[in-house]
Amino acid sequence: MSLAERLEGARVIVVCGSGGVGKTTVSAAIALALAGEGRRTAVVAVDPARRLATSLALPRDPGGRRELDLGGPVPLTAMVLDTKRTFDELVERHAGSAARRDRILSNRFYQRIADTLSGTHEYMAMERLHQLATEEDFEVIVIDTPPSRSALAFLDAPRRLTDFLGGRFIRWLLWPYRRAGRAGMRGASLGARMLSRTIGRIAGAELLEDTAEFLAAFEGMYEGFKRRAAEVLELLGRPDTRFVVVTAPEPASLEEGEHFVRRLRASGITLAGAVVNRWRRAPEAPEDPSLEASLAGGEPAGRAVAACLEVAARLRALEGRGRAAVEPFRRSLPDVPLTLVEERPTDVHDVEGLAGFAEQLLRRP
Amino acid sequence: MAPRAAHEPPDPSDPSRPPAPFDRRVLLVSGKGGTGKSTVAAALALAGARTGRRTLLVETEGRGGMARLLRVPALRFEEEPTPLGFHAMALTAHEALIEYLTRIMGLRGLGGPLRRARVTEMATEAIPGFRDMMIGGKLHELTGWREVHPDAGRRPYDLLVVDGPPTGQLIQLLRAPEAYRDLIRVGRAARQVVSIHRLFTDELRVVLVAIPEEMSVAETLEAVEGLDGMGAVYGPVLVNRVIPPVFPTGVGAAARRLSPADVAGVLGRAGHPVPEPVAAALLESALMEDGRRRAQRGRVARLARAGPIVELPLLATPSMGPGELEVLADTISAGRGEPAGEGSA
Repeated sequence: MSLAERLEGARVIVVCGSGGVGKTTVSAAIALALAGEGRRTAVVAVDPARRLATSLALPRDPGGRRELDLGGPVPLTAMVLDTKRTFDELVERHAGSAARRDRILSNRFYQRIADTLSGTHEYMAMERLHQLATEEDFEVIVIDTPPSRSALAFLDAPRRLTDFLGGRFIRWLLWPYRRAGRAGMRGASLGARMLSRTIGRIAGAELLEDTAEFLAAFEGMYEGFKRRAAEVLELLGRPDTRFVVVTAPEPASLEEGEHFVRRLRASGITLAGAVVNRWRRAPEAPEDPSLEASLAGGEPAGRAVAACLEVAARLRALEGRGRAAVEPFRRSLPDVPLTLVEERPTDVHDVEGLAGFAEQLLRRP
Repeated sequence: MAPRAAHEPPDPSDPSRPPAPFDRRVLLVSGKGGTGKSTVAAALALAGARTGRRTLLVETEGRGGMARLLRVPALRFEEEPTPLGFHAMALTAHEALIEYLTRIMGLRGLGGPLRRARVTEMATEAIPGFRDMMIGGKLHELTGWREVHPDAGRRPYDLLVVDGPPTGQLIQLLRAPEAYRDLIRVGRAARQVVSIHRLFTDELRVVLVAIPEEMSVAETLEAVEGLDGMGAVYGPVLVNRVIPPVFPTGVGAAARRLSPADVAGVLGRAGHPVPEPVAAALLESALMEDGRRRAQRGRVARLARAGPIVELPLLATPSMGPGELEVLADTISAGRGEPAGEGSA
């Protein structure tokens, strides 16, 4: 069964994998193919390469949005994720009052974490997905996931963020720093005071005060925020949400891919399949070192053929390395379909290149 | 080389000062995901250790790949010797903070409760720059004589090779000590921040890893701009996975004139007859590889225009391990690649 068939009926397609494996290219290629079939499709890119962005005329700035006319029956809607703006919108939605909204949006701690707290990018990508899925009329949404240390951070991010924002321990820790609560320091245990002071000394008391103030402002919207996070996870678990795991033909990448698949399955998520990108395939060729040696000393045509044989030998080694990397994955997850996509002579950076890439990616066997 | 008192920073006016990149004590290796950054960092550590430096390879974004590459058990927060002549460890900000609080700030009893409460994990993640400061602090500790550690008296390392953050987070890491210096002005923590800042400005060199692909080149050039902007010491750019020449000089033209029938003919006369479609595929794959290499040469040339580079070959071996690291370390030690911009004939 081809990847195209396994993506049939999908409303949401999430493309994940470790950094540098070609996730953005895979997302763009899938979206392009779907739009080409006449489906109203949106693709959300995260940090697309400049040249890909330029040649597809993707929006230049985060938060931008553009209708791409690719000569098909319907245009493709392309967006670039803006983490900060998505977080701001989320605050606006749940703040309840203008005063609280402003208090949060102007807090220095918020302004810092909105971009740096680990998991924020991942979570905001999913939040954006939820907005698109519930508020707009697309038949399919393809979403790329941010490059991060743990590529599945978006699964943990809602829990992490709500844990963090609602965490009793961090409140306890920060309590002495709440300006209003300064006098209450006496009530804190010796351990809390000591730890608090120490962390304050390292991190700067000012930072902790901002944090405490932010948490106080956030208190009232915590429940709404948590409900929203649960809805996002529910969306990811729907049967018409399909995940594609992208890997490269290297042991570390495939091991990580295997780990992703297990985590996704444990979270009740529907997997469409795994892609091994940048696959190198060796041509069939006589394997005889003496043949190469005898040709290498002769006339130019013979030397050219010797060079061809040498390339074939190198490619055999690289293909072998790829097979050795894929083998454990196949063995431990025999039911996960793997699509091999060959490395192309040039980077994929235009519509034509993407179409060729999509053909290999989605082809029927 | 005469051994230098390792706890003194190298004197830039010293005529015996070693050439870059080993003129600095901390080599921070950074690159986009998928460029082989960890492999290159390990090769750099090997090349450094061969110069007689007491070398430590520090993994900071560990996913276990480094241990497999070195063929050693999983790396831990403690430095351990490897069969390659350097030490290695895995550094996490979380462990560094616990060590800092328990050993250096003297909150000995807190290690266990801290770990359980996950507060340190949250602190390192949530407080901007905190993670970077913890990593910087540990690097500083590793370059000095150890005083309060159980193995007090440990010799400092002459060379730390840090398998660092992806390029996107590099500038943030480098700027953290400066930001904290402005925030914390007095006390012991302030003195420590100043030491980290000094380590970063006086003893650190950024080594960028790129591959000759469009996206990596663009990101590397952007990083170079950022590093120039902040006056950081960097270079050379290590260009990884460079395809070696496909056709020897003068043979490329002949190859492009060949038809599949010619190839089949040559092989047949040499006693290895193949069907014409096989000959066609063989020829096509070599011409495609040559095309890839030519495209790479242009990108390598663009990197070379921005500063010194060292080219590391794409190794066609069954797996990456110590043998491959030896080859890459040789290339790094030789300090050069092919002349940039030269296409295959």
